[in-house]
Amino acid sequence: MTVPTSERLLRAALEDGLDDDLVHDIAGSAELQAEVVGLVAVFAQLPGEGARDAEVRLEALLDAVAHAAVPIVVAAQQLQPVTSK
Amino acid sequence: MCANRDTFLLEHVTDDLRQRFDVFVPELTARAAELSAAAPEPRPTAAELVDATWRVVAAKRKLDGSLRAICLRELEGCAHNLALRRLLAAGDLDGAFVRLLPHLTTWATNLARGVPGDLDPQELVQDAFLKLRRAPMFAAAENPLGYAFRAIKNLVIDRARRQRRTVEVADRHLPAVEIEMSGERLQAILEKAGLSDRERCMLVHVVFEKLAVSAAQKHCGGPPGAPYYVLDKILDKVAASLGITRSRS
Repeated sequence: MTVPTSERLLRAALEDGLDDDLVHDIAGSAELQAEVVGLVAVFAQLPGEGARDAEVRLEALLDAVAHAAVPIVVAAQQLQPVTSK
Repeated sequence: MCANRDTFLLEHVTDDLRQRFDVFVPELTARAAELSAAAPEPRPTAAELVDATWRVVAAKRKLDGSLRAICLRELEGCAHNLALRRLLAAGDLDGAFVRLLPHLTTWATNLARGVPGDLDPQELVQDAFLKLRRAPMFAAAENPLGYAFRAIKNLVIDRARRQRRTVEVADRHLPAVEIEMSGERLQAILEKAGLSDRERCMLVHVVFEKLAVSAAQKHCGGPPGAPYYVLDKILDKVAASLGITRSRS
């Protein structure tokens, strides 16, 4: 059974270890990029060390996505209208 | 034809990545020549672009999916990064920013959607350019594209955290750090979210006690199974009560 991405994101926020597949999925999805930030915003409002750790892990996840910026660039190119050949 | 050949190679030739890569070199070289022609002066050669692509592909920890697709995608990234590095080496920051602008705008727009309240992506991009202009590391970065993307990410995360401080100071006239560690504040959030006792227990044990999600579920007497699904729903309620929209893919 496929685990929904929002649950994979939560796991990434609350457990150590970087999920390469998730990094790639986020890099290629505008929705997921917003969802990671939304989750950071939720944890940022919650007190507690567990919430702080989750923020740090999610930020590291976004760093990995930024480092693998190529899929974001390709996705952006696909969204732009073709004006010349 | 290429796709079939790629699938065959992925299935049957696993011991020599370079050998598999070489199969695509003619196609990559042709695409690299197009990218080189479209690049600003000083242009990287097609051979330089293919070589840079090989180094990126060889350094990858995992190669899932079509090697051909991965190589072509990374070639695009290498073309961007090589062009950026040359512009930066020539001291042409404005040229580099013009090249980065559409990609950073897309990234900023996507990330800004996750932050509650209005966050103008154009403003984020302008702020990032100002920071990059003052960052000596940017001009020497191996991956200037990734460096610039991280600059936007840092601004968005700072904004999300700044919002927390604003709320805390508005809630109580206490130093932000003191309020941050306050169980009282957590109780207020849980009440506002309308969580059941079991849901409160689970969230508190995850964020305050740092208990594993499945252990927190068990400790709080929830039915076993799908702990992350349960926590996801709890966080949905908290997010809604805080006015945060968690977008769903």
